[in-house]
Amino acid sequence: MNPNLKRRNFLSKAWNGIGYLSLASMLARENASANKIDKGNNIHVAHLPRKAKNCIFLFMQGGVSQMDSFEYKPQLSKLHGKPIPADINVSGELQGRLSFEHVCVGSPFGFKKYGQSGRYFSELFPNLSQHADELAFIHGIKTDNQNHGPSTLHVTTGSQFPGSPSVGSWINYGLGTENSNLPGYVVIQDPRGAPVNGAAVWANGYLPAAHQGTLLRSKGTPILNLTNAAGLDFNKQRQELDVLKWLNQKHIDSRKDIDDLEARIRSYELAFRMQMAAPELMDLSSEPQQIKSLYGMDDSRTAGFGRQCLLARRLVERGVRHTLLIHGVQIGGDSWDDHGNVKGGMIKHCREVDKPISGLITDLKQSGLLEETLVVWASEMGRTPFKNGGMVNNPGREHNSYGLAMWMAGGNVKAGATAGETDAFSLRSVGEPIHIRDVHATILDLMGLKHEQLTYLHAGRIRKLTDIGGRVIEEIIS
Amino acid sequence: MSIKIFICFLICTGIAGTWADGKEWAFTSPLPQSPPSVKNSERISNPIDAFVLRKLEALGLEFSPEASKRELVRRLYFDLIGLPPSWDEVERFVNDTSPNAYENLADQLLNDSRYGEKWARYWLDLARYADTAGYEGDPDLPHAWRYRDYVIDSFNRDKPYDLFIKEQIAGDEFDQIMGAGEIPLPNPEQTVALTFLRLAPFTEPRGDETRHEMLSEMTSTVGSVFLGMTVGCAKCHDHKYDKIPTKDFYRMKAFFSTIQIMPPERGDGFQIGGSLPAKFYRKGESEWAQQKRKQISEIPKELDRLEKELQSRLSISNQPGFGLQTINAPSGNNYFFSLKDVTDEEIHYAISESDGARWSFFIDNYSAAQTASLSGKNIGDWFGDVLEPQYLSIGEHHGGMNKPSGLGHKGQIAEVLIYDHPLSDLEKRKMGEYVSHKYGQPEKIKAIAAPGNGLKFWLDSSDIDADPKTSNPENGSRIGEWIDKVDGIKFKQIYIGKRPIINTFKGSKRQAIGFDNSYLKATLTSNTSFSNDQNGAIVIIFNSLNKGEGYGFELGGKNSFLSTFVNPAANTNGGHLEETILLSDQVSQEEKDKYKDLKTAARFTKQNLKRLEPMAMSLRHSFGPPYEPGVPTSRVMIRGEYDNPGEIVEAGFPSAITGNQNPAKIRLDPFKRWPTRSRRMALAQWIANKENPLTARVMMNRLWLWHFGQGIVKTPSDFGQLGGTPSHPDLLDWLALEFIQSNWSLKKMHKLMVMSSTYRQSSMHGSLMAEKVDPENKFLWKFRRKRLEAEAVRDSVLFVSGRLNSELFGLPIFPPLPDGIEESVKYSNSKWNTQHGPEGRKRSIYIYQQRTLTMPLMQSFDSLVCEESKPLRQNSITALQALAMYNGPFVNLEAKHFALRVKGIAGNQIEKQVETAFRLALGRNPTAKEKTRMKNFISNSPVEGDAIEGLCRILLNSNEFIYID
Repeated sequence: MNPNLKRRNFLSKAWNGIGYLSLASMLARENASANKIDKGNNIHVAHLPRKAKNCIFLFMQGGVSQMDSFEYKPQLSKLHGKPIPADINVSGELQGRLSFEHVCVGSPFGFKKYGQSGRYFSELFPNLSQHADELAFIHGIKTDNQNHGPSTLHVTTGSQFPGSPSVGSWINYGLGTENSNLPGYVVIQDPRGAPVNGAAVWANGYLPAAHQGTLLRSKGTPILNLTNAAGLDFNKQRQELDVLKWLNQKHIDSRKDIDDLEARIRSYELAFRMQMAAPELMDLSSEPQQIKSLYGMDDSRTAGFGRQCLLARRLVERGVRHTLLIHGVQIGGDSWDDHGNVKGGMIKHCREVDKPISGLITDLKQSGLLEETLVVWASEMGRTPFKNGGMVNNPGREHNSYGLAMWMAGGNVKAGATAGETDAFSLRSVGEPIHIRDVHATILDLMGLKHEQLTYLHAGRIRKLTDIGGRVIEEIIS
Repeated sequence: MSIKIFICFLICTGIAGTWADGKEWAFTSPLPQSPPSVKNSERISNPIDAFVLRKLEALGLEFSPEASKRELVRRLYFDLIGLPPSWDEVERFVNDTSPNAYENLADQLLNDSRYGEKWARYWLDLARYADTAGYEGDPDLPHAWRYRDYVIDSFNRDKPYDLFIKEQIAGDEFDQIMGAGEIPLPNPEQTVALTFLRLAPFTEPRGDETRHEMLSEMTSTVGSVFLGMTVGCAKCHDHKYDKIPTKDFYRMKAFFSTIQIMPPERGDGFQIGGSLPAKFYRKGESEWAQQKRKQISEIPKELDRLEKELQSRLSISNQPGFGLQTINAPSGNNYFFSLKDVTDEEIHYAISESDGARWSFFIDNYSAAQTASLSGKNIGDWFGDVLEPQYLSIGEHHGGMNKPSGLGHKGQIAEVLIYDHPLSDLEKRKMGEYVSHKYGQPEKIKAIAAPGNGLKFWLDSSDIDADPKTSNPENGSRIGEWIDKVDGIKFKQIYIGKRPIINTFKGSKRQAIGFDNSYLKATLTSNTSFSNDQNGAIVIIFNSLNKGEGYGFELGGKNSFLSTFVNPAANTNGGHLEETILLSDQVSQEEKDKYKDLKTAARFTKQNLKRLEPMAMSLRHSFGPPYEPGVPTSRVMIRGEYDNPGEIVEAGFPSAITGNQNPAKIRLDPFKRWPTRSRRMALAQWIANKENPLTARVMMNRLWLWHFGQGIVKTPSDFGQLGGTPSHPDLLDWLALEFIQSNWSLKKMHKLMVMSSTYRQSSMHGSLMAEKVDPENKFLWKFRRKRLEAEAVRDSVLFVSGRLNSELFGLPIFPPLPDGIEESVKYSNSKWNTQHGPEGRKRSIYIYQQRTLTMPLMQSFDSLVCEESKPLRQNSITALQALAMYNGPFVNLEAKHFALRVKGIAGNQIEKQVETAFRLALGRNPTAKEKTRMKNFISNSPVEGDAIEGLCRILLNSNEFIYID
């Protein structure tokens, strides 16, 4: 049989969603002609010339207060303790809270301009602000739901309902993987716990399982089941795997249509190689002390996220397509969800991430990786400029699904650019809001993928990360 | 036109073009089809074959030869009951030469209760079944499992499919009200069935918005599950492929508008809504529940009994001593404990040391061996074993070793010294001299110096500020700071009430520090030099009196710590009893598992008792005015937005099928007293009607997909344009009408399908012609080899190892998870009630479906806990799957039991063992070559016993085990 014909048969089956082999990525690298579209399901198509090959997505769980971090709102501070002016549009999702008096809470933090772009940063980011001219900001991003669960999903998967593939799954689906010894999509969650929705945040949804995020664990082996539970060493394993391979080969010999059977044999070889590659990835002992310090690993407050960021650089170096780092957990003091004492909370959270993120950017830059890496910083929503009810000693802020601020760096991001703007109170966008799906369209674009073309036919609908719309935010693309 | 709509328009028109004129094929009634004539009529077993063969012959193709009996028996078992045949069953069938052998087997399997356990799973995927609500906190749905049992039971009883539909959409509206009087109560089975409508993920409600989303979800799920129509697309815009205008979506949604969800129970922080009473209704179920309740309420007592027994066996009742433990370190949880009694008020010194490979313990120069130490895994790592060190702490010992009540503190620590190497014998002796000189009775006037070589850390109670020039605090004062004399590491206490007290040792003038639920803590930086060390020693100089009082010295890090402690006698108040039991080699693995399970189950007693209440996660219609809300005005919601009402609509059926947008006739009671009733029943009756063009076709297509691996329509939940043309439209129509005529009996249709020659073809056949004409085997010129579903993989492994628990129905099960991953997604408390015993080895359909946690093995085989209706699954092959199957704890444990089973049957003869293993796992004898290769593998293996286990592991990982011909 003509091997090309065979390959084509296999791939066409793959596109139909049945008999899909997730090793397709490996096969695709072997066969460049895989770039075609069939029935709306495509794999491995870079549509645009873009520098970024890999993406690091930094997700802050809980809803970051934008007016205490990156949005300088002096007028808000002037009205501290007073009701928000009547001409400010406290409506829509925020309407439910109208029965309260909306008392302005000015930011307790000082703001200064940094870099040539003259962008304001609050004093909570003494390190990140040094990279002011590397970052492009988006303000006034809207998601469709004000609760943590749905809004977290909305930002991480493009849909507020569970069941959709996450951003990293789409990117992997679109671009495939470059390291055949490690998964193409790796997740490192906060060592203190899981985010809201757990694994739904990095799920493959209806995309094939090969595109799921693989959790890099902080306890035990870095990847689940990386060592043999019966305690076999590598030699013994090799011996057994050779017998298995022999047996599987015998099985294949008497059968036809063997792509799936062959792929399964290869999956065991890949697994075996992964057992070698993952521990090497995690072994930070080869990193010089000054690099560890750069990421804040010598301070117990920054060591946690510092380690996550350092691992992200190592993943990028190894060609892992997408890395999702999560800072913060579901609820409590380690979440950015500062309903009370936003001052204390922000001091704590920002200190935990400022140095590590700044270190990551510095390190990527000095190793030349920033050019080909897209760094995205996000949270699930912003917060309100007011405190519901009366003013208390340590006021906090409520959820605000109209006020998310994000930034990006690296790749084709236009350094120093800004898109979108919020009103004088950081409540919502001035003019047409930027929807989170616009941000997703932009992320895909920066990874070389056209969001309208990255589709998957599922349950009778052509599905996309951007669902029913999406506009690429050209202002932040160079 | 807004950007959103414009883009929508682009997508929707870009591929499929404009609406087709006239009705789609799927929206017109199936036409009676007579089976076509074929050339090779010998291969016709029933009409199915005529339709399939006719198509093949038109392409110049023919059926493949019939599969061998050995292939058929395996195929039929996996297909109908999801488990392999036993070796005896294979042999019996292969040797049964009667012409009815195959048919008898099909009948037998269709009547096997395991049939329901296999086939209900497909339905649960469609019903987006889960045991938790998802989202924040992922709260438990305590009664959802009853719906799972309802589905299993309905399949097993071959409930007519039209009834099955009506129960799930309108179970509360069965009885017609003919006059005045009460609303009739639905029967419990139908109440449970309605859980179907409540299985969508749910989070903290937000009033109208939540209700809008909830009813919309019901509408689209009902549309795609029962009708194969993607009506959900029309929620925001007119469906651009199929004739489903937005208005039709809201007309259909209007059937659900009077749904009443019970308000949440008091104390339900997540507000997921309440349940409704539903008695246990199956025969024996109520007795089962009662017994189960009894059994669960007795768990705490049972735990107590076992704990006491183990405690006395290990003589750890209140034996004091000293020891060391690591928790969550890379080397695991280790616990070492010396039984030397130190509760004598005398001064002692305890040394814990490691040379990087092994821990050793000494107390007053007695080694651990001399003091009858209980030890766990003696893997040695020094402080390097703590992940990301963060603090040092001294005093109250981790794990709540409280002092016995009313006795007051009597234990004191005088000094802690840390060395960068294990102490030599000479140094140990010098340490002894140092202690007796300094603290002896009477003390020497001038104490000799402590051994100073390699000393890296020194807390000295005679000089707590590490400044010899200042004087120490007076006896009886509470101290807030204690400073290390080598590097100046500061131990602090910010809570006044937790400050330890300084006092003299009994009968000595030297001071020491008393810890009575108090402690001091130092924050670490990564340049604290010993925190990464691989070897060294900790010396603690102390005295103690009370048994059960524990204090010590701890290095803590990211969720892990290493502590060395004194006098941590295990008592029932907590602390070390559990670790001691779990790490002791005097307790068998079974006892440990039982102990662990009871410990966990005790935590879940309340939750499990709640699950056993006679309730269901059901709903009902509102009772209407004056009691509850009446029928609300239904409107189109523009762009699907809850607060953007448009045109008013009446409940009605999709116009693509009926050809009009007239309101549906809803039959109310004669007095119209209950205007809110019968709306969903009107919809259900229209769906479950033999005139409906879609219902029977959609279900028959699903059945075909599940038997043959691909639907006649490739997209089983979408019979619209995107689904493409059916491969055998005439066959689908014939099946649909046959299904209706059989009174909607699924079992009859299964039987037809598996009896067909189409089904019985070989999958191994090759044909150059066929491969050219139909390379994808779309037209079924051979059988499609199938990969086992996740559930079948796990169930078969257990079946082969002989450890499958075949108990039908019941509470969710919680099989052990690798590496305690349940902890990684916990919200407040883990929901995973791990069961190491037989309960956790029931079939996979009973596994707790936790939306934030899919079992990794199941996930790697494409069984993800459902979030939305799933018409088909992927067949992925990934490295993670290989890792889970080859390295994972589940398969390795079962391989061990499989090997034991093999040896039990075959004895010690290698050849016989190989043969037995092949028979059990693959249902066949090994070939001569395989026998030789496997024998070589076993005899070349260094340890003989392991090799059988290895063979078993290999077989469970083989393609032949996972793929069914």
